[in-house]
Amino acid sequence: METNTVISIKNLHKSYKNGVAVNHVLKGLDLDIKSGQIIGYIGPNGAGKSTTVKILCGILTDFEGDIKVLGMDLRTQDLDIKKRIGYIPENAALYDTLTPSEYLQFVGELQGMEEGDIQTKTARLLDLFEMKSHADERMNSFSKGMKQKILIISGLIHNPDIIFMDEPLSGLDANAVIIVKRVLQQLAREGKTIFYSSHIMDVVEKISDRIILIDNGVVLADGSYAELNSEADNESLETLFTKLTGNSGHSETANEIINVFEN
Amino acid sequence: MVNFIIRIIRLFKGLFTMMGVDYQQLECILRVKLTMDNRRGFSTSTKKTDSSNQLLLQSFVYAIIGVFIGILIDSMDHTFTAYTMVFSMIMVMIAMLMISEFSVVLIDTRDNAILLSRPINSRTMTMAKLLHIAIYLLHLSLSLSIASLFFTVIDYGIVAGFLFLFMVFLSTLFTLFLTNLFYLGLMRFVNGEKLKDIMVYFQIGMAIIFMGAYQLLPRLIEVNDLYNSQIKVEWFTYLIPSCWFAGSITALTTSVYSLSSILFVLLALFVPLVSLWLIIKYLSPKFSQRLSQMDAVASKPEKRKTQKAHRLRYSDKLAQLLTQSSVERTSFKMIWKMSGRERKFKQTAFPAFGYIFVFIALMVVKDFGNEDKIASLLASKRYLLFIYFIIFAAFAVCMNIIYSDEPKSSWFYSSMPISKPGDILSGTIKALLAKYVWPLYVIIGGPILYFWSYKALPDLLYALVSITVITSFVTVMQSKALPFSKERLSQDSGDNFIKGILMMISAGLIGLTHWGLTYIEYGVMLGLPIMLAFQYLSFRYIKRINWKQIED
Repeated sequence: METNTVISIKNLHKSYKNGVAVNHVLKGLDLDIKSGQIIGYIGPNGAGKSTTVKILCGILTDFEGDIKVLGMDLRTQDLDIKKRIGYIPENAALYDTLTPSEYLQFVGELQGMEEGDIQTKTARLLDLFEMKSHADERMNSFSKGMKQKILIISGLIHNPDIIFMDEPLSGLDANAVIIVKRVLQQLAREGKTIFYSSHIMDVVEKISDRIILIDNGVVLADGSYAELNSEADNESLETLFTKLTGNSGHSETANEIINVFEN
Repeated sequence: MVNFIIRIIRLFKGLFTMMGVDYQQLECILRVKLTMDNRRGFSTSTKKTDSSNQLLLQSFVYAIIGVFIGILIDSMDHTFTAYTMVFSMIMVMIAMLMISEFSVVLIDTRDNAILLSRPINSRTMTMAKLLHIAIYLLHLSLSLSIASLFFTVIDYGIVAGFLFLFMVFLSTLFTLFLTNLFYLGLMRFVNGEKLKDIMVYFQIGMAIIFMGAYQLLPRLIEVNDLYNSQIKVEWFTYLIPSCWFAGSITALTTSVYSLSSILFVLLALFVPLVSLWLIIKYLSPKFSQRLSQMDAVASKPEKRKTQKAHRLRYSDKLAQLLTQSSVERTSFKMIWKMSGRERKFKQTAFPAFGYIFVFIALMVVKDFGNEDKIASLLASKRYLLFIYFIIFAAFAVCMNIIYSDEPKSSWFYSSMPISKPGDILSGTIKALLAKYVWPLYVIIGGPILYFWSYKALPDLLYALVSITVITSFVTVMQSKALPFSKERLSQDSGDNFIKGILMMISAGLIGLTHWGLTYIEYGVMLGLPIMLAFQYLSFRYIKRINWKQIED
């Protein structure tokens, strides 16, 4: 299978201004991502993961640096890029007074899909995610996991080339997690690129072809799990994560918490 | 209804496409937004209500208000002045509505994750938002101007009626532009939570100004002066938008086409259309950008100023002084802090504080400058009325403290080892009295003591106790719900109305009792210990409330 660069990030900077305070979140990020890869994008809270994803999806537009997605410039060709990417956000952001059928129809239309195509794909995907019987129920009564399934379908329905996922498995039951993991692996085999941002290390460890660890707006580690594993003397990804992010004193903290109750 | 609106919008498809809007996407977004409004009640409202009924009721109220505006056209001699006043009122009301009711739609960050990642250009996005708001605003501005339209047709004919309608449409459009500009300016300096805070205070201010203007203006302006007044065309009238629309109608109705009237017509036609174009072309990308920023910044922890140390100590001391059990004390401190931070609470309860001053001003304003009337005021016991107005504010804070947008957050009450929930209620009531009611008592009671001297002191003391008694008693009688534990539902509205009437009657009775006591020698002084006993009994009753009596 031919692999080429689908995302190219050069010297990406991003700051948030809040009054006079400036929070420099991304500090010169450089990344090249090939097609057909599953990228595990990990880092502690506030590392800049969601900000990177939001920038790549065209949600945050005021950044510094050069970004090319699918060979197109993100600043000038954002609409063309958005037609070919899918975004599954962290929070279940849905119009939940709609039914899944109505919501997916809405998303399909915005993505410029044909009417028949929307209906076929909606029916198939709802069935595969075991949501067919809920297709015409309003989503405000859905559990977190059910909403998450609809979010995943809405990110996949238009058959995007790159799928950006921000904690996509949160709230899903064990069966759905297995399905999503297999779907991701199958999509990657078909040449799709998955940009997967998560805190759940063992899932990242198992499904990612390449793991990128960021903290404080810069890349700390980048490579396959095997490469990172050998660099870290065959330690788990979790151990590597805590070492590189400078948070290795977890046992001491846990002991101190216990001590609070003992004293 | 949704289909009808969409069909009307479809008529302007060419215009939208010319502006660079993707019409298919625009229709798709609007259809979904209107469908959602129909299902949950208008999106700004937390009430689960039938939105069409709510909108119909609102339209009816606006049509009634519109009659008072429309009468100006029929009764004023000077056409230009009459229409200038009509358009000024319509535009001010639309701007107020826009800020108080529709801001939530304009700065809805929920759309960010759903729409911003889709291939929708910023012009389509902004146009969808503006149209969504404009549909409701036009509905209300038309209700507001229906009486004016009637008088215009009667006085000046059908053509003038059509022109008037067109001018209402343009003025609504222009108001929309101005408020949009206002928000963009505001978002330049403040972000996320602060913007929401500012909006709440703006809404409170608007409610008070609206009430004040509604009550005070007719009393301040002599009716004859108003009917005979004339606005002369000067250079600055060209800067007043309502004059443009008024000038255009005047030109048609009087058939006088002077240079000034042509200028007015040109301004009325072009400025709203150019401003719409400006919004789509230049402001919309900036607006989308700021919205996405707002969401991102809101997700970052924001350093909020907490209460100053000395104020913390002040509330702690009050808690020590006024409460007995630890649960009551904790409840006191929590309500002290939370009531000052909960936006919905402030938005619903705080306007009552402003209304009180409006009512007092209303009663005093006519006597200003008339020494005899001032002397008779000071000789009377009218201050009793002023001090009992406080009950409005007391009821407003106590009635609204039970409501929250996040009622589920109150799960912790039942998970805590609290045997007597009555302690939570008494702590809540004491905190509300100490933070809101008693300071208001000092603000109103201080001047009373100054103007009426020490003779008013027994009455003030008695009023303090009786206000405290009635507030605490009525609060638990109307609802035994824990603070911030209930969702505001539309079906509560009717219920609350009846409760409100009963509360007002009880407040009236307690005021009348006080007034009656003033006719008995030492009556007030003798009544004071009885009231103190009532106060003791009412708090004892509240503290004994058990879990079975607590409303879910």
